Amino acid sequence: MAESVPEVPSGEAARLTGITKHFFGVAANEDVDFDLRWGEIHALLGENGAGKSTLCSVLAGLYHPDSGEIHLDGEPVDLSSPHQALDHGVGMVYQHFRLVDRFTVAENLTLGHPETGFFTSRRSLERQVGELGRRYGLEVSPQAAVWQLSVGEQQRVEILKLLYRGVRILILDEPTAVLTPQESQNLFHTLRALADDGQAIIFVTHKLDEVMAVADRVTVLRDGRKVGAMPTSEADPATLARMMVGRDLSVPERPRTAPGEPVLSIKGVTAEGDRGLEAIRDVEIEVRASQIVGVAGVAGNGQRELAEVVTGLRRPKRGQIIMGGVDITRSSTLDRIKLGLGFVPEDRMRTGMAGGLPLAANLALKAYRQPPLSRGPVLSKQAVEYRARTLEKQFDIRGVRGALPTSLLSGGNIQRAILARELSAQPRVLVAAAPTRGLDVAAIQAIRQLLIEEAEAGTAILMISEDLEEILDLSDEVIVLYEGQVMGRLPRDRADPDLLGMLMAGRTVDAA
Amino acid sequence: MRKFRAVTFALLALALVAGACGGDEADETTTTAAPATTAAPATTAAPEEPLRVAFIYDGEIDDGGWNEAHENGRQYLIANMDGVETTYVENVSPGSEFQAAFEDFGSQGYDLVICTTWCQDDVLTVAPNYPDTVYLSWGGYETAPNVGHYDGATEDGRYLDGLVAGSQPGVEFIGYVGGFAIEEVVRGVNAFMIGAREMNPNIEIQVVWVNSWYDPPAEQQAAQALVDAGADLLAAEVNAPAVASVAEAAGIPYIHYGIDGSGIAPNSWLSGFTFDWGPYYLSQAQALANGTWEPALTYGGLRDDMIGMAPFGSAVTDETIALVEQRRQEIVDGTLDYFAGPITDNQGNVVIPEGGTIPWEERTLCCQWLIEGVIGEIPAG
Amino acid sequence: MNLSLGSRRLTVESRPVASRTVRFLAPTFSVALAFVIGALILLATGQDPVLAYTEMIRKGFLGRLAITGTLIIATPLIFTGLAAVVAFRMKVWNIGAEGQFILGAVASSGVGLWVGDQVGGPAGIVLMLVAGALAGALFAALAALPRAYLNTDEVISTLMLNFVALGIMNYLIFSSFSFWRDPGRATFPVGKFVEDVLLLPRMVGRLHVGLIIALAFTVIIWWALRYTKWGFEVMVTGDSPRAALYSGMRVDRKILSVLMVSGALAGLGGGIEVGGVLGNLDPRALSLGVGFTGIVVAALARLSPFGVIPVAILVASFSNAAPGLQVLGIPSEIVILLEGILFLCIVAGEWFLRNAIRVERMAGPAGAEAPAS
Repeated sequence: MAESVPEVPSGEAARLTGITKHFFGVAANEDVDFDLRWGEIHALLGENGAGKSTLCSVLAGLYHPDSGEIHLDGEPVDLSSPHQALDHGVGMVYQHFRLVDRFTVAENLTLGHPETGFFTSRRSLERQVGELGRRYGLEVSPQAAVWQLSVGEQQRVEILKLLYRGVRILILDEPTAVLTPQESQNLFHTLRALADDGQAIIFVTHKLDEVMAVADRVTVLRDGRKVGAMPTSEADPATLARMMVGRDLSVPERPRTAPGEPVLSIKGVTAEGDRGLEAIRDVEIEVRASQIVGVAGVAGNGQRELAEVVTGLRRPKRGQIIMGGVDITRSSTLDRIKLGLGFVPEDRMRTGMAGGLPLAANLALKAYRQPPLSRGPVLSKQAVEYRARTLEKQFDIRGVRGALPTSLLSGGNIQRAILARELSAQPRVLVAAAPTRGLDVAAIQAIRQLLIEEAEAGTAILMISEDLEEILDLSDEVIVLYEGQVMGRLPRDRADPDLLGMLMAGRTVDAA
Repeated sequence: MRKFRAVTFALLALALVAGACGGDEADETTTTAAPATTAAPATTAAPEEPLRVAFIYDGEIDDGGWNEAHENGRQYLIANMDGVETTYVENVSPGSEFQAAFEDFGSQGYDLVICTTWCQDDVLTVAPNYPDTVYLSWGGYETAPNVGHYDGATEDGRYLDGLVAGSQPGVEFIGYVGGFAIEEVVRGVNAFMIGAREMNPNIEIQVVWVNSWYDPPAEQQAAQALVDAGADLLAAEVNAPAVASVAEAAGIPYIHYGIDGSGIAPNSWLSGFTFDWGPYYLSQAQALANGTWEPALTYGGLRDDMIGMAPFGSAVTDETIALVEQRRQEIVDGTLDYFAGPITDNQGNVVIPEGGTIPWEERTLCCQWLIEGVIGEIPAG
Repeated sequence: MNLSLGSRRLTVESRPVASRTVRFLAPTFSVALAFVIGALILLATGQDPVLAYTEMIRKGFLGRLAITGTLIIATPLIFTGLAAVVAFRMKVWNIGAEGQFILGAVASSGVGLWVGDQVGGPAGIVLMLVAGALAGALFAALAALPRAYLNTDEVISTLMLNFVALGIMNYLIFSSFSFWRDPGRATFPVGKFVEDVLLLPRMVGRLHVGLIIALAFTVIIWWALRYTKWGFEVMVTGDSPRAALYSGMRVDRKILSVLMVSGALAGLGGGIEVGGVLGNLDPRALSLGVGFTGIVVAALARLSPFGVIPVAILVASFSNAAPGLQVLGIPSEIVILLEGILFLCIVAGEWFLRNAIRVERMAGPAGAEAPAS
C-alpha cells in the first residue's frame, strides 16, 4: 500500500489504513481507514463509544494499534509515544486540558521543551505567541497564570502550545463541550484560519450542526468501524444522523400541559462553593407541577452548587427553599428524600452511583430503608434483587451481569438506572443535572422521553444542563446562570440560541 | 523486633487493601542461627538416659545482654555436666506462646524446662499437667512441687560497679539509663550510689527511665541526653549496647550491665557486674539427676557465685581492682553490709536508721525510694 | 504504564474485573509460590525443606496440644482481624486495634478485679467482656469523633493512640501501684489476678471458650455486613461517600459507628485474652502486636469475615510451630521469613488480579500479542 501513496505536500497529510485496536477482547477500532489532507478540517463523527477517541489516540501515539499502518506525509511511521507523534508534527488537544495551573501561559508553552532557554527566548517567545495569536485569533496574555484564564482561553493555550511545538496535524477531541456558543464560534474561526494556512485539522464531535458548520469533510464511525466519509457539501444532517446511529431518529415532542401549583421555590439563595467563595448569589427559581424549568449556563457558573443546595448536600448561607409548602432549607438530605425529592446528579459514577457495587445495590440506594426491601434493621436480599430485576425490565437497563460493578455499564444504561431509581420513588420534585451529557444519541432520546413523561405525570422538574439544544427542546421556562447569578429568565417561546448565548456569556439583554 | 515486624506487615497490608500496589519493600534478611541442639560430649560416665533440659528465651541469644547471659549459663551447663542434653528456643512471647512451649516440652518428657524471664504465672498454668517435668522460672516466688524460681542479687554487683565508677578521677556526675522504675532496678541504683559515694562523696547520679525492656532508640536517646546534660560517666541497666556506643562516641567511661561486654566499647569500658547463671543451672540439673531436687526460691549474690565481675578496662587502676576484690571478699565472708544504716533518700527522709539494714530475705521488696544524691524520681507510687 | 524491553513493549493495563478463575487461582498460586521460595531459601541455607514443612504442620496442627495451642494464639487474631475487616470495608483505616485491644484488656481486668467473686462466674465474665468491648469502642471513638466531624486523618490518630494505650498499661503495672498491680509481687511488677470464677471456661486442655465467642462474632459481623441496613450503608459509604451522602445516609455517624464497632471487637479480644489466657493485666503478653497482625490477617483474608478464621489460624500456627522448628535446628527466622514471603506473594498476586500485562512488538504491523502473567 505504501508505494501507492503520492508524494504531494499539498495533498495527503495522514493516512491510517486498517487500524484495529482491541481492549480486552472488545474492538474499539476494527479495520478503520482514515485519510486527512493538508488544509482541511476533517470532522470525525460518531456516538460515544464509536471509536473516535481511540482512532485519534492511535494517531497521537497514545495507543499502539494491534494492526494497521500509519503514513504521515506519505511516509510509513511507527508512533510509539505521544512524544514521537509530536516529533512528526501530530498533536492533540484533549478534553481535559493538560496545563499547569500555577504556571504562566509562557511557562506552559516552554514546559518540556528544553531547547528553549530561560533567558534568551523569553522575549522572542512572547513575540511568537503574540504573532500566532493575532494570525489565528488566539489572543492570550503570555504573562497570565493559567488559573486566571477562562476555559476558552485555556483551550487557546493548548492549541498555541501545539503550534509552538511545530504541530501541523492538529487533533481536537470534542473541543466545544466546554465552550459557550460564542466561544465555539471563535474556535471555528481559528480552525478555519489554521486550515487556510495549510494545517490539517481533525475535529472530533458528536454534534451534527458543528460538522455542518465547520468541517470540509466528515468521516463517520459506528461501533468501532468506519461507516462512510464524504465532503460536507454532499452531506445533510439527517443522513449523517442515520449513519451515526444506524437508524432513523424521531425527536420527542414536548406536549404542553398547563403547569400546576408551585412545588419548589428557591428564594434568594446564596451559597459558597468548595473554595469558600460565593458560588451562587440571590438565586430565585420557582418550579410548578408538570413544569420543566431549564437552567442554562456554561459549566462552573454555580450549577453544581445550585443542585447541591436544593438536594441538601450543601448548606445555603442565605435564603430559603420551600418544597410543597414545607421549608426544607435546614432539612437533611434524608428528610428531603422522604418529602419526595428526586435527584439525578451530574457526577453519575461517584455521586449518583456507588460505582464499585452491583447494580441491584445501587437501585436500592434510597428504597432500602422501607419495606419490602428491609424490615427493622434487616435487609432482604431477595427483595433487593427482585426490585432490581423489575426496574431493569421496566427501564430497559442492559448489560447487567450479577455482582459486577455498576461502573462497567455504559453511560446510557447507568443514567437509565439512576432515573429508574429516582422515578420509581414517585418524586414530587426532580432535580436533573446534565441528564444526557456524554450519552449517545439513542440514550439521549430515551432519557429525554423519560423526563417528558415524568413532567406529564405531574412532577416538577428542575433541569440543569449545558446543552442548549436540550434546554430548548424540553424546558417550559429557561433560566440562565452566570457567575452564580440569574442573568435572565425566559419562557420557552422567547428563548433562542443567540439570546441564551449572550446571557450565558454574561451580557445583560434588555429583552430578558 | 516482633512488634516491628507486625507493624511493617500491617502497613503493607494497609497498602494492599487501600489499592495501592506496594512491592518494593525490603524483606528481612535471614541469619542462620547455630544449630540449637547440642548433645553432651560422649563421655565414659554418661548414663544411659541423658537429662534433657530446655531453655526458653523471650529474645535472641546473642542480644549482648540478658538472654546472652542465660545462654552463657547453658553453655556452662553443657561444658560441666556429663549426660545432659540441652535445647533452646528463642523469640518466644509471654502469654499463650510461653504456655504452648511449656506444654510442648512437658509433653515431650523433658526433665527440666528453664524460663529465663518473668513467666511464673504461665509456668504455673501448665506445670501441674506435667508433674514429671521440673520448671524453673526467673524471678518467681510461688513454688509448686515441680516449680522452682531463681533470681540474682543485682545490688551486690551494682555496689562493686559503684566502687569502680566512683574511683574514676574527675567523675562527679553519672548518667544512668534504667528500664522501668521497678524495685529491682531502683535497688541496683541505690547500691551503685553507695559504692560510688564510698569513693567520692560528691558524686551525683541522674537516672533516666526509658520505660521499656528493649528499645535501643530510646536508650540511645536517653544516653545522649545525659551526655548533653554533662554526664562524665554512663551506666546502663538495659539490655542493649546502645548506651555503650554513646559513651564511646562521647569519650567518657562506661559501666555495663549483667554480662561481659568489654568488646562493645573498647575505650570507654570500665567493667560491670555479670549474671553467672551457669553454676546455678548446673546445681539444679545435678540435683535432678541425683534425685535430690526440691522446689526452692534461690536468691543468689556474690556469695553464691551467681553475681561476678566482668574484666576491667585499662582505665581502672590496680589499686581499685584490689579494693573491689577486697570488698567482694568481705561481702562473701559476711563482714560487710553495704546497706547498713543510716541511709537517707533523696527527699531527705531517713529510710534505714542507724543500726538498721535490709535483710537478705527482704531484699527483693526494696526499694521504693531513691537514695540521697540520685537525681530523678520513681514515677508515682 | 509502559516498559520497553528490546523490540517488545510491556503494557500494564488495569483489569476491570478479574474472572472467577483468576480470583481463585491468584491467591492459591501466591501461597504455593511462597512455600516454594521458602523451600529454596531453606535449601540454600542447608536446611531440609521437607523436614521444616512437615514440622510446621505437625507442631501447628497435628495432635491435641498443637491444635489447641494454635487456636489459642489465633483467637485474639480473629478479633483484631475482624476489627480491621469492619473498618476497612468502609475504607476507614483503623490502625489502632493494638491500642483498643490493650485498653479492652485494661478495662476487663479492672472490672474483673472490681467485681471479685461478688456476682458469680457467668455474670462476672459477661461484665468483664462487656467492659473490654466498651473500652475498645470508646477508645476508638477518640479517633472517630475528630475523623467524623473534623475530617482529621484517622490513620495518624489511631496509630498515635496505640502508644497512648501502651503507655497507660505500662504505667498501671510498671510505673505505679495502681489498682491493677499486685502489691505483693515485688520481684517483678505484675497485675493482680482476677478470681478464678471469672476465668473463661476451658474446653480442651487450655483451649478456652474465647474461640467460640470469636466464631460467633465472625458470624454476627458477616451477617451484619451482608444482611442489615447498617451493613448496606457501610458498603455504600465505603465505595463512594458522596453516593452515600446523596442517598441520605449520615456518613459522619457511619464513620463513628464503624470505628466503634471495630474498636469494640479489638477491645473484646483484649478482654478475652485476659479472661482466657492471662488472668491478669500482663503488659508484656498484651503488647505483642496482635492489633497490627490483625491488619495483615484482614488483608490476607481479602476483608472477608469468614476468611479471617483460616488466615488467623494459619498465622497462629506459624507462631506455635516456631519453637518446635528451632529444636530441630531450623532457625526461628525462617518462620518470620515465610510470613514475609507469603505476604509479599499475596500482595503481588493481588496486583495481578487488578492489572493485566500485555507484551507487544514495538515495530511491525503484525499484531503480535501475548498475554503474560
